Amino acid sequence: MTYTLTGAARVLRGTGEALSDAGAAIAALDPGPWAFGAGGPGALGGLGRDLHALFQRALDARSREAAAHGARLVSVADALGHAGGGYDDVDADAGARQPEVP
Amino acid sequence: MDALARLEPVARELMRRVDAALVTLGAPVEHPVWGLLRRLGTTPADAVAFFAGVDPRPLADAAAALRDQADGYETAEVPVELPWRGTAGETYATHAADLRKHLAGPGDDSMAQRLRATADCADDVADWYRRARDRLARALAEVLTSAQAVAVRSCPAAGEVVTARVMDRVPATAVVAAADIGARVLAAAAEAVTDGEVLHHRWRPSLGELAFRPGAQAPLRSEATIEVRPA
Repeated sequence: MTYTLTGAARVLRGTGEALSDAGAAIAALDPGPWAFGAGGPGALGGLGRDLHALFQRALDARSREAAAHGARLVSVADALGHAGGGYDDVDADAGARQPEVP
Repeated sequence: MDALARLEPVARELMRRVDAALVTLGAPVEHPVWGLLRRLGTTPADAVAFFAGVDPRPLADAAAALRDQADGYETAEVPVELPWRGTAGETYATHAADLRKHLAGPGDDSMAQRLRATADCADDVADWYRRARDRLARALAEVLTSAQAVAVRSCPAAGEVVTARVMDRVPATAVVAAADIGARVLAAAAEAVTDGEVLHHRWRPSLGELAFRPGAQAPLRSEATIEVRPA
């Protein structure tokens, strides 16, 4: 699919915002320490706590990746939007200086 | 309902007697149950109750949600090819390609692949619990039909006041039988713990945060030049 600059900026912004939302949603996927057996006795509970910590750190990393990449895409969308706006201005100016010959 | 869910209620009373025997009557000094009690820090009845109470379904649910999100990353739009010539257009195309690659590949590493790896980790933990439950169920099936189980019926039940008279009526063979049952059940739990520790070590290095590494060209800036050419 071919985009105009402003169209591409709009799509990038949408993807970036969806990623930012995904960051929050991913963090909420932690089923909690009990699902890993973290409340168990002795070494069983210790292993459950280790496994939960591993999964929780992984979810935190996925969440940060999504938030950071979402911000990157929105930032590029802003830059692209400015560039596209500038292009449109130049196009309009050129059209005004060179009116069509009847 | 798996085998452990069926066997645990049947074995509960036996396991209580095993625990009570270990706590009140002890076990022969050289019996392997002592090492297993030290290794696991839990009694046989508590170990069985723990595995019987674990529900791995929330882990599988989390894994499915993570894979759905990875699908979303792989279908997300990041426009790369634009009708934009010149240095600014090339800089944009290079940077956008880097952004898309970081999100969903191709290549060995991307945000989508890290999501899938995290989902695989959750599934592995759920599978580990299923294997552990199967191990415990096999151990319970063995001990429930063993001669030791018959002998342990003469041991005091949990909560029974253990007086000298009660202890006198417990034969030495019953004490050894309780230790044997405890050792069999704890050995199954110890194998599960070892298996789980291997799983933890295997996943630990591969779930860290993925850093964004753009290519050689500088990221797009809003002041980048636009070169307008006639169509």
